[in-house]
Amino acid sequence: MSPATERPGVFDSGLTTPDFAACLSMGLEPLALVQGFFCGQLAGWSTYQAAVVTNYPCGYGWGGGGNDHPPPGWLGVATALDEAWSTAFSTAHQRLVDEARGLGAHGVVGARVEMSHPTNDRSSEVHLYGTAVRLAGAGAGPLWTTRIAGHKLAKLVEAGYAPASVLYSRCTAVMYEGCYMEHWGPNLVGAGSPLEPIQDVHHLARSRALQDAARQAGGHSLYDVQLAAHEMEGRTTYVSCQILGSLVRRVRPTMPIAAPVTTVGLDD
Amino acid sequence: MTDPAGPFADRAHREADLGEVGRLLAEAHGAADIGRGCTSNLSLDEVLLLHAVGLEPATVVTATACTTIPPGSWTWSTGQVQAADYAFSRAFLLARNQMRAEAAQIGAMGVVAVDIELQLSPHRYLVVMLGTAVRAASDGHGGSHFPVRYPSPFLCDLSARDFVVLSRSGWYPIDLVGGASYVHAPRRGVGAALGQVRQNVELTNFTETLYAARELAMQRIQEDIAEVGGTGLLDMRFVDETVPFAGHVVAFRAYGTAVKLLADTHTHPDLQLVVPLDDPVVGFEATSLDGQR
Repeated sequence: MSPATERPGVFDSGLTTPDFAACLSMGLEPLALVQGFFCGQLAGWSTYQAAVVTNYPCGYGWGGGGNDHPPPGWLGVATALDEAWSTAFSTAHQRLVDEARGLGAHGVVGARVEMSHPTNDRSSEVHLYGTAVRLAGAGAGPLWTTRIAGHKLAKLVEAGYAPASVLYSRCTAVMYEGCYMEHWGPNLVGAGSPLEPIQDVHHLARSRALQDAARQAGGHSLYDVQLAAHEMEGRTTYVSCQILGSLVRRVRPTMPIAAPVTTVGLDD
Repeated sequence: MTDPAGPFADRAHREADLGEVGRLLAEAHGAADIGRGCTSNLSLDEVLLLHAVGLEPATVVTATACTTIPPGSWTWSTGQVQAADYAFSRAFLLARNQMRAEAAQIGAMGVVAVDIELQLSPHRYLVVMLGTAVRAASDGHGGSHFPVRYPSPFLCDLSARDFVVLSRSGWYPIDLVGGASYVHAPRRGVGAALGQVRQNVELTNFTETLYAARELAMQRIQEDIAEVGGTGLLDMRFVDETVPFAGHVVAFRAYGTAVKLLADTHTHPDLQLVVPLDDPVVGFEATSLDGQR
């Protein structure tokens, strides 16, 4: 991996023109477009590897499996799959940070995240890129990354916050229906009855991803949370929930904010 | 929403602000954190707006409810698909209660910007809600200037911006409300179908079914508004469609935020006209010279 290099007197960046102008006014000197990549292979995954959270009771009341009906259902988490993606993100993010640090930067603004399967479902690619900036008058401290730049960054700082990092978390919840759902299925319980295993798998994916985000945030604040859930349904249902957010630190007390004024734009 | 200082106020000062912001950012580099953290799916602009009315985000809350629809419910018949109607209202209610319980557990005043996802399949109705729980923001003296004290957390799908505009008018969100109706379209007679096969005609059976579905769904949502103590409905989203896996069933579903005037009178906000100066630049295209365009 060859790091980004700085040519004295020349900079490259991913900034838009307004963001560039605002950054210069704030004393943020753009150094270079820095990037972090990670390409990986996702090991084959089976339901046997799930970390089981809940075992549902036998739908017919006598327990266990057998020839007459499938084994009882369960709810779990595909931790190996989630860890693979989380590691891919954190490694790419660290590479972005290292590249910026190598240039003597204090932070990375306008960071973007792209995640994909480059070849097939068993491959992963994470690509982070942003503009490394040096901050006039700043002392030593951890290098920060943020998805915003320019006036939005100024607004963040005016409100008493400082950028911390881009945050990613995810959880893939797995639910095997088993005989529990046969018993509680719609043909036996009528209309409008809660289907707990379906509720559980959706809720577990979202709540675990949010809990993990809060854990990573520590005492910091997390804004702009973007949550994407994807469902694969069958005898075994997978719900994968991914979260991308902006982690910020409160460094000054809340400033009194003037009451907003309602305006009508004349640009229809 | 704009800064009340206005675009021309103290321009030199505004330009100097960015330098000041840069100095603040430099001071913050390596400085210790203060205050408590939160998670939110709101943008920073929305968070600042909420601060202006005395609220702050606490955490993202989510709720999921899934209810059953028995087999055979979609077989072509007449009248309502009552199992689907009931599955929707039950799932919506369960998700709503679950989200309110989560918000109450953390001492939140309510939940704003709730995103509602509805999934219908032949045998079940899934409702997923996700929003940001908000709490009273301290005004520095241990109090909050948000004027309303709710007995239990409110829920709304209004954006933070809409919430601020609404509350500054004296109106406040009460709860999420929803109504849905699924109705079988009656078959045309064989003679009518054959007689009209080469004609452009209105399918009155579908038109009338759509009206029937609309009436039932709106009646239900109005009952729901009254039940939660609201007097109106804002930001209503509605969908009318034929059910993908049962083309003879017309669906009408609607949801939104029930609101109520809690101030003494409605206050019309003072509107200021703004001419934005960020219009896209009009470009010159050389191809316009060749007469082809």
